[in-house]
Amino acid sequence: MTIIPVIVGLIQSLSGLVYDVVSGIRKTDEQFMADLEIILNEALASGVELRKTLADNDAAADARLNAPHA
Amino acid sequence: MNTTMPIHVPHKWHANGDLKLLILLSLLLGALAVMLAGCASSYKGAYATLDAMARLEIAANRALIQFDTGKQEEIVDRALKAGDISLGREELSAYRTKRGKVTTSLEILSTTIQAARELIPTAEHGLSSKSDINTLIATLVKAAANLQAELADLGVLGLKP
Repeated sequence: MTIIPVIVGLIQSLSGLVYDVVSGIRKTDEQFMADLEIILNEALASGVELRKTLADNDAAADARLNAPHA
Repeated sequence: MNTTMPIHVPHKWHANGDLKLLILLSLLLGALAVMLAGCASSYKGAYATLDAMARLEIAANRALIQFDTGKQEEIVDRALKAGDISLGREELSAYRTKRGKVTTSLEILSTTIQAARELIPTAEHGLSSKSDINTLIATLVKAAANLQAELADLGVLGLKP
């Protein structure tokens, strides 16, 4: 019966594939959480940057408009 | 993690492509996370939504920084060229009022993202309820939709001149 080794081989391949996928997902989950922390901190920092830039832009626009030569 | 790290703002960042895609992705993921709320995988959906919303916040902040700089300069240039300072002041005031709506939406988005950041892990460990997470995700989706409308109204998304 030549079909038995083929089935066993297929099962082994499938198991390996499942293992790889599962371990890959685990690793990806950890990496995902680490990356998420970075993104969340970057979001906070970009908010700080936005508020500062808008205040600077407001001040610059008002100064140009109110300058004596204007 | 240092929360005051400098943000690189590229000179020619095109808001229309990346930002629209991020808004769409955020809304889709948010809706998906709410739909998956009853399943075991709901927290993955919630984390994925959080990730997309944080990316949206960063992209919107960068787009607004770039847009605002050009817009205020344009208004002042036009007023100075026309010699009409009072018109320049009026236009600046009207623009800043509209911009205020965007920054308010961004504040709501940011606050909700940070609240969800704290709450999702506690729900994951059974210390808070799933409905709280769902409420936060729904708030995120609403904030992203509002932000989209207000960015378009201001002209950042290019839907209005």
